Amino acid sequence: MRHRRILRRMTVHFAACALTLVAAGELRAQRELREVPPPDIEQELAAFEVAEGFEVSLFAADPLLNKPIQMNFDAAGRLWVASSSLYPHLAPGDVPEDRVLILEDGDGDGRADSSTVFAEGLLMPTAVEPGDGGAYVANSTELVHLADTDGDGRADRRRVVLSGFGTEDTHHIIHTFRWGHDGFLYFNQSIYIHSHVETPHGVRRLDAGGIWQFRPATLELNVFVRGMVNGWGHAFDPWGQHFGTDGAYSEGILYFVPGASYFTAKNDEPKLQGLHRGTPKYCGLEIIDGEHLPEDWRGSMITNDFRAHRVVRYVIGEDGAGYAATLMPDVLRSSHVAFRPIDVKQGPDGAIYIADWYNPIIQHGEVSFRDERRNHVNGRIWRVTAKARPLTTRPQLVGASIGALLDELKSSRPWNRHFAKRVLAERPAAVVVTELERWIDALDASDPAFEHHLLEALWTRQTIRQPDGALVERVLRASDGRVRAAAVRALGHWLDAVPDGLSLLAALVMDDVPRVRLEAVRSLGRVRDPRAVELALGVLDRPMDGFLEYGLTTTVRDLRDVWLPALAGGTIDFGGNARQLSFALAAAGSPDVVGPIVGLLRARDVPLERRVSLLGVVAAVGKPADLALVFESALALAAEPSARTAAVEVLERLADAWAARGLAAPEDSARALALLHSDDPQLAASGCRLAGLWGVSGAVAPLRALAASRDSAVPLCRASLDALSVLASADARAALETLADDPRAPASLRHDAVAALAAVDPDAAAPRAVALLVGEPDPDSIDRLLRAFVRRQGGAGALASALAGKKVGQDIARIGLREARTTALVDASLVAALEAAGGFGGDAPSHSRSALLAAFAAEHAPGDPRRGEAVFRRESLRCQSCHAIGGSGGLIGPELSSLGASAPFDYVLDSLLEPDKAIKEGFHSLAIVTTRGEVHTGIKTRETAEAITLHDAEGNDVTIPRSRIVAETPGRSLMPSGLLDGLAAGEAIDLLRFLSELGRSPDFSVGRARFARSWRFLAGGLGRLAVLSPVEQARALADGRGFEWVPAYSRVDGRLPLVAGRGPSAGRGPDAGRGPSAAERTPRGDFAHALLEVTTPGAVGLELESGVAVELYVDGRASELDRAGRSEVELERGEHVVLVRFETPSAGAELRLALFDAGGSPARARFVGGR
Amino acid sequence: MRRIRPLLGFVAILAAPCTVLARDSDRDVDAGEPASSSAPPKPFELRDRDRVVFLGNALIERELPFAYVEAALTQAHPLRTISFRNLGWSGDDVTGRARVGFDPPERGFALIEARLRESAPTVVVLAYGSNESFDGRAGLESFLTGFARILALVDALGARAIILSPLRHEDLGRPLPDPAEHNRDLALYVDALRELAEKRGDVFVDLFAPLGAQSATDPRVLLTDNGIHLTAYGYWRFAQHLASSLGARISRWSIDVDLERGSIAADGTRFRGARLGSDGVRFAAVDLALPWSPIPGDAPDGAARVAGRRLRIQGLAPGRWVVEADGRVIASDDAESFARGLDLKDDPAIARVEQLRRTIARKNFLFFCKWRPQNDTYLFLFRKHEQGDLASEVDQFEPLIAVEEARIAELRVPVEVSYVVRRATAEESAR
Repeated sequence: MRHRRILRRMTVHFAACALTLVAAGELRAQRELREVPPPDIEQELAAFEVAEGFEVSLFAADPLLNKPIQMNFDAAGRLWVASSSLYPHLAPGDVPEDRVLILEDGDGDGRADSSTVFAEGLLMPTAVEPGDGGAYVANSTELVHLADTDGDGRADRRRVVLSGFGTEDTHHIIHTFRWGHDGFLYFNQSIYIHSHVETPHGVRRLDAGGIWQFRPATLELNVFVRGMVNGWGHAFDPWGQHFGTDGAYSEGILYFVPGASYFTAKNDEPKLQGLHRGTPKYCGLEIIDGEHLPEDWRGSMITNDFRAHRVVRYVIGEDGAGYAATLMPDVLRSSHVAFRPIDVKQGPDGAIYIADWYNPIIQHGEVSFRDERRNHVNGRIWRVTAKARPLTTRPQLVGASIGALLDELKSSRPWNRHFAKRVLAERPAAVVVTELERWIDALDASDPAFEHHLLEALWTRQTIRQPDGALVERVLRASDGRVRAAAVRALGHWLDAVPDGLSLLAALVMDDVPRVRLEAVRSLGRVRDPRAVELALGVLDRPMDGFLEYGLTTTVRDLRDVWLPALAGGTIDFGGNARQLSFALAAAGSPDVVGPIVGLLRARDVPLERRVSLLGVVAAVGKPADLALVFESALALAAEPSARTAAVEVLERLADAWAARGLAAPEDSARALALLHSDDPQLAASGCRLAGLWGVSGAVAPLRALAASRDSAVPLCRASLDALSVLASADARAALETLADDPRAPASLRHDAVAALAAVDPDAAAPRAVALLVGEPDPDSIDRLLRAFVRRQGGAGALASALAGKKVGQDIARIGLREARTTALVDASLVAALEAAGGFGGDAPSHSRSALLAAFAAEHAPGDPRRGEAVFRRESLRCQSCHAIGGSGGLIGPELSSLGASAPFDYVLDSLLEPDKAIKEGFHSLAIVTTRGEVHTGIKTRETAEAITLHDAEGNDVTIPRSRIVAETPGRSLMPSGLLDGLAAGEAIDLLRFLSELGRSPDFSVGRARFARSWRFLAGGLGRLAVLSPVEQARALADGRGFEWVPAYSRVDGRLPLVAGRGPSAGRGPDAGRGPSAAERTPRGDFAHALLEVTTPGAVGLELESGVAVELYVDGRASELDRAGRSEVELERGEHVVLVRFETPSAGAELRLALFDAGGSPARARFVGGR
Repeated sequence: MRRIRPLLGFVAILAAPCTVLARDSDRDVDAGEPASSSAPPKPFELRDRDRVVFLGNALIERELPFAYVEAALTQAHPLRTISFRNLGWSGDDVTGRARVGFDPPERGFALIEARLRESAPTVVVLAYGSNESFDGRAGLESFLTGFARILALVDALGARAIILSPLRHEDLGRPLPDPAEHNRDLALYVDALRELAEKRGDVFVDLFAPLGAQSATDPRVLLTDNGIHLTAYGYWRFAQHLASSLGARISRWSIDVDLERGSIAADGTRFRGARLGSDGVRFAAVDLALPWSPIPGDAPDGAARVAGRRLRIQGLAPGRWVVEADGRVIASDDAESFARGLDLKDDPAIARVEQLRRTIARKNFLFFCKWRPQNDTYLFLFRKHEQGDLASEVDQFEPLIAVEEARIAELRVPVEVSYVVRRATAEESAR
């Protein structure tokens, strides 16, 4: 292996040398690799495509500025720019010489006419925000204030305001400085950063990403939200709500609820999801408004898809307590490879300013810091304006009277209101207070914007740190819920200053507007008083939604060390409200809730759904005695036919707890055996799992019988085999051997039995596995069989020995090689044995990097992206089980929607050839070997003092108790190496072409349409349903339970290629067993379903387009399609199954299902993505 | 803006005559044996080839660009090679909490140990306790346990420990927090550290009582701008306090000429070739040590100052006179002022000590880049397969550090300066 890699490197060098010798014509063909365009402004300008009715012009370019990273206006309308030519990595001997520049458009012609070096000698300044007589600047480990004390426009005093910020990764260091409406300075840090900041209030720490909330005057520093990967967008709407974007994640616009946690917030549960999942990554965010813009653009959010060289626009609408985001047509799109929009601000003239970092290379880690294609010199600011619409006049704020500044708070332009407050912040507070009171008295109460003016007054008081209880109470009485919501947040900061603030919050929790309730619930999270939780839980008496549930859970968790002791001590009792108590206990995430839960379940009648979640909590954190109670309850549920689903869930949570916590078996463990005889296959499967985990004596015979029974569906059969291998006793092993060796047993059963045996006795299993593989292996079971050896310590070696001298089919060898390489602990002997057994011999199956590069160099656009997409979708490559496009597919590896637009070709190629060469943030795997000899490989998602949780390549979360961990090996990618080995050269080139078109050409970009992209096909027959009518079948299939479904994904264009069910030979229906008994059952039609999540109820529009006859069912009810293929369905909040029945398709048949907004409906819905 | 005013606020602890430096000196001085008195025995002294490592929280880390402490300890021992390494980390505590990055918090001490070993200290200056003090009395015991563990490590490395107390939390008035309660807690930590140092016989440097404003009603000689972190002026004061606590004397410089009596006397410097006459005075002088770094620009009004470089010439004929140093005019005044004494603020020695301090700061930056490089995720940690080849760049900082240290060794030794006091020309008088 190592040898081959060195050879590859050598050929690369040779290829690089050869490149310089080839003719100019050929060089042109290597545009994607080597040709970096000249930094010509006209050329970049010519490459723009602008939204209709808009135009783009240059505001400033090098040499006026270089490499802009963040920009912010000041009250005088000057544009401050943080710029770094050192980025991304200082070289030994480099002197910190980065700068903060001020660009000024003195004559207002839309073009900067001067640039002042405000400060220099900085080390990678990643943010600048003017204020307090100078500017706050991010300077690597420090947040500094640079002041100009003599008025010459240059900083002459430097003060370290905060220090201790991490620099583990320079594209994550503190950034995105913004003054809030409330006078706080907000700034972000990203995932790799660990900060330890000393303040006079104590040390503030933030490991990984989040947004800091800072008040320079008091040096109060707090974490506003946490999580995200690399969130470089943060903006506020006119009602003081915060939104963001992430430059390394794919959830579109984020709605920031104070104190919330977002993706990647380690150990924080739950997490609040973004408003548009499955998007490209975005950088920067601005909310635009004012008369210069056409009406339908006002209030829009602008952000940058910097990978695909475009500036995008969202419209945000209400969705319960939160929001929904709709993507609009692009603002700006460029075909220029170096156009990198990374920041956006609306200017004082109403125009949209876009900072263009100008670089053909964006990646930080994937491409060498010293790569010569990185541009360290150029940079542009572009300006987008509406054609034929007058610009707004720049207000004169600096030097204006306080009265004039206050009047600007009434402006329709956010720019004016924002900077009026910034100027007021630097005026004497006492005078501002006096004048503000006079200004409020003079307001016209009949003005439609009157309440917003009051809100601005409130924010002004916050900005100048002058709490005003009477004003906040007045604003809380506003008729506009958005105004009340903003006032609640202010109240949360002023609770010390507002008499009886707690009872104000109590009323607000019950407000008619859900967002006001959410703000009240979150403000109560700041009150360290057990009554606050009681008040917050009152919100359960009003309609709930996902945002409210999230906010309430967060408050309950924030205050758990306050209310849990009070509950235990009898100080609070939630007024005897079981609903409130059960919510609090289920949400608390603390081991201290077990006693109260047990008490509650004994004393009161708790609804089934809540009962299940409470029992789950006890299973996760309770003591063995408590778990016995959970088991008892589950058995009781199992006895009630209507509660079986609930029973299965509790049993599975119980089994999870046992597996994750390494507990001893309960005394009455034998009772699990009774479940094995249940006629519900899922209950029986749970029984198997527990019997195995608990080592129930006498389990072997019934397990073996279940495994061998023709009546057992595949999942149950596998559960019984797995239980036998977990039992690991001599008779369990013997049972597995018997099953494996039975020549009359179905092939798939024998494969599964050998796989189960491999997990307990690899030496006994290996010869049996080889015998199956050289015979007539079951194609659907090969990967599972081979994986079993890789996941067992010593398994790979045993299999390698057994393979010696044997020949297997090349396809089998390829699957084996793929499985062998999906771990951090690759066994070289197994790789060699598989290569030999498959007859590959040495390097034969691998594609050389140089050959592929040469193919791309020889032809302008080699390969066919459509054929490449088909290769990508091949089951044998399993790309989609780990990688999503448009949010659909596995979420184990990076989202690929904009891969082609962002990654240089050589990076994509290297990712396929050597997945370990460059791994994205958060995709590093860990291999854990347990005391039982299991080898788990996955991405670490959770880590506690007791256990580590890995997310594995199958998409499962596996929790391993620390007490069972023998070894941890970090580092490799989960993506197997040698992926291209099984492809013909043409196929490899097609695949590469497809990947490099992703997000770049319109046909391979995830557009704005809301397609269902994650599907499940009904696998196998309908079983006993076959005799029913389609309507009855659909009803029976509505919850999908008891049937086997296989995932499928739409193509990038949203179309789902249709495949017929696997037919009777696979025999995987619920009662099809494994034998020919299912042969007579031919499916009369085929089914696929997608999941639809409704967040605000109402009429939801569905549009189905297909070349074959189709029927649409929602939650089992038929939905009539009109001639355009459209249907409107009234849906409640929650998840819905959209089932499509189609005639057994001919080759090439496909369907496409999209959401549309039903006229006048408030409904908010989205298709569920993922795997 | 400089606010040095000659002969003002000459603080008592700085006033001891400068003699300890004379012991360092092995050079022959032909004239002008400095006025000196013998010093009391020192409990602590920096030795030739000492490697002083500063370990602690932001008090240490933030000193990096100022370099006053290291400049003070370097200039105090012009003939000894003493090297310094700053291992401060903002937010750190005795468990090494701030250092762990992606590792679990328990790894902190191992990282302290590894870095300390690597830097091969003979002296370790420890600054911990201020962050822990926010836990109050409840945090004291675990603090002391952690501190003892670090001391055991220092002992194991055969190094001498110097224990710094936390700083007082200065009261800067509202809206910043009232530090009264925090200071009561801090005092517990200070006392515990003093007791520990006494028990072990380590040098203990109290920063709590002698430094900083005691209350809001104190004279405004604040050392911090946020209550807890030193300003440039704060570090300048801290450097003097620490240096004198470690036995280094504050250098003084004065030359007294009496033309009528034909006498010349020097303190802190040695002169030769003196020529005294009615047309002026000339002599060459080499200092025993560089002067103190000049007071930083952010010093508050009324700040305590150190003595200047005082040149006093009695008996000059009335009129305007200038002082030239190595051919450059550095002062100009009338004869009466010369008789009272001038402060030579523009003396080449002052420029030299500032150059020394800037060189140290440069060295500090290079060392920071070496031991705490940006992007270490890619250089050394779990993404090293991507940019790990650049990890070798980190070693390239070593020769750059060596260059600066050679320069420091050169700069710390005073050089001879030729002084000429002559009548101002008509043009000079007009200015």
